[in-house]
Amino acid sequence: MIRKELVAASAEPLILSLLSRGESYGYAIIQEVKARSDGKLQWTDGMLYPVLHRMEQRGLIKSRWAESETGRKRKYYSLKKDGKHAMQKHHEQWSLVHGVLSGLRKEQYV
Amino acid sequence: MFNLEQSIADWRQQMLAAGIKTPVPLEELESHLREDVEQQMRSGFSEQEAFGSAIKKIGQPRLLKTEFKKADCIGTFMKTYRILGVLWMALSGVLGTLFLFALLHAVFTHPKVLFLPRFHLHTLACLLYLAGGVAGFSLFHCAQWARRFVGLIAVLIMIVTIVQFVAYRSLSWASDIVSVLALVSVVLLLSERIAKGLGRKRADVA
Repeated sequence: MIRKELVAASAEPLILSLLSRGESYGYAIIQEVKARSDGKLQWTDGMLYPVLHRMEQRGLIKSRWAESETGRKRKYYSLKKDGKHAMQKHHEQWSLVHGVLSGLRKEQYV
Repeated sequence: MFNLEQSIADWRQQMLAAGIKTPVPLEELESHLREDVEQQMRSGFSEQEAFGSAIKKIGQPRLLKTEFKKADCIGTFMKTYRILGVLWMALSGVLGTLFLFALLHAVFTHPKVLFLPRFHLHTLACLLYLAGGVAGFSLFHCAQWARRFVGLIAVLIMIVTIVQFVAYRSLSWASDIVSVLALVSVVLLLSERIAKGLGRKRADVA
């Protein structure tokens, strides 16, 4: 299981990256993250929504209510221009951290 | 006999009692809850088991309320920034433009003003006001860089105003208005920093 702090820190970049592929809603976001991480990255379901609301307030994403194919009301989220910029920034920063870690790991095996 | 609708109504009451208001975000949480219950029932769980597991996964109402409150706090700051942006555009931008015309008029009618230190101080103030107007436009659109820019312009305007007052013992009404706006902006920007510092704790999705 991944540490709580890392799960919290990765929430925003993961949400932004998922939404960059098209609009989605809370339940689907949680399921997708769970599936892509083989269940290792698990969020407390309810806690995703304050994060989504906060990102919306910051102008990174926008939302709209719509009916699903089953007739249920769902709140769909999509990326805004500032969200795309924020996502690029996150990617750069996480790539940097990943690069440093990989480099250090390689050195251990030399 | 387990009744899903009654259980969801009870759960809603618990959420409302904790301070999670309707329609948003309670409607959204309920939509999630129903989706999860359906999904689990498709996987073979009973209605009661699926509901029990779904409400557990959604989390404690009290903790959710705390996190939503943080989001609301950001929303309040965003609204304040939009109002501040309009004020900067309306006051600093418009006064800066009028000031610019007045300065140009002074140059064309009395070219000697170009050699007066007071004229240069006015020109600097005018440019800052115009920059404040541009920053206000970006602040209205919630651009993150605009906050720092407005903060910087506000501090510079206050410095120029103080220099003007110390050197000439008089201030124009335009300087008064923009200086008050600058002071209010600095206080607001600092208060957000302090609020962020106090609530630095990250959103806990884990």
